[in-house]
Amino acid sequence: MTRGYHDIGGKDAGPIPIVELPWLHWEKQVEAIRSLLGDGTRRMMSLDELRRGFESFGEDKYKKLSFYRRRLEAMIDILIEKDVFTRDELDAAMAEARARWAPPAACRS
Amino acid sequence: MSDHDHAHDHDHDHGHGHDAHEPLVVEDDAGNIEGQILVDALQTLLVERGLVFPGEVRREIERLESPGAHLGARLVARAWVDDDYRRRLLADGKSAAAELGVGVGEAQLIVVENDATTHNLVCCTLCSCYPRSILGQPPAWYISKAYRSRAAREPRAVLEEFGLKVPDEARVLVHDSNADMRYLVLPQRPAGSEAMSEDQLAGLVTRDCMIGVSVVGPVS
Repeated sequence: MTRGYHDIGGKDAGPIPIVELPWLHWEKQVEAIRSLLGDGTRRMMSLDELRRGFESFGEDKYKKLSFYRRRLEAMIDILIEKDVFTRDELDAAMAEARARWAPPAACRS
Repeated sequence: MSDHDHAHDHDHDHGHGHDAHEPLVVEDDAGNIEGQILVDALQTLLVERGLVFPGEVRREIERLESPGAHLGARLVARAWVDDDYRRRLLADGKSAAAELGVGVGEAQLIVVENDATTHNLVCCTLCSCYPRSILGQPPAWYISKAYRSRAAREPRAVLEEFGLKVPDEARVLVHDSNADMRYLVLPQRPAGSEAMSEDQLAGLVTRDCMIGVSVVGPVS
């Protein structure tokens, strides 16, 4: 059986990066949405489905994404797969979200 | 990172400087903003479709943020002062946690006990499984590629990087968590703590001791 790219137990790696990083708001949102979609009333996405998502989206993408970004992208892939929304609808929602991040217009005076 | 790794994989879509062999991938400012935009877009679509109610995500964030290592520490302190409880905790972690009003919702909880001849270490090689309901969110190093890769193969070397030298005569057991089973290390009660109350004892128990990368030091 081929070893999956996520199956890294026992491999060589450098020193452990012993750091404590803040848990950022967007990362909390990712975990909250994952938790809600997987809860007993919705049952829309199990942890196993989420893992299948990021364990099958390719090694390059898996390795370059941060932990929460990986989970976010997998969640989106699965929801598109389940016809909850389309990639185009996501792109439109992203454009709106991005506009809210645009810098304010410069002062005139 | 070794030299041969250096030449490739610098050109991906959100422009960070890391490469595929970096032990911990973190977003830069642009990546964090992009993550925020993406998750906001996802949330908007889910609310529009009535799958998530407005305000529900915020409440869920509060729920996720409330557990912390103080809950695990309560289980440990009770086990130190009550031998019957210790036995119940080792036999069925989830039920014993529930006795103290601590809910473990995500999976089964297996409690593993350190003693003079055994040191236990918890990891998750495949992803990031962790007893979140009693320790909170996992630290960044726990989900790093380096910890996931090496903890199972060379735990003593890993522990030394955390400043812990396990005596050669003691065995080190590594527990690889998964979606259905989460582990908690029951550390050894430290010397000098005989007169301490249960609450005082709980104050000695840190997250790292319950993952197994540290031990509870003697009380002076």
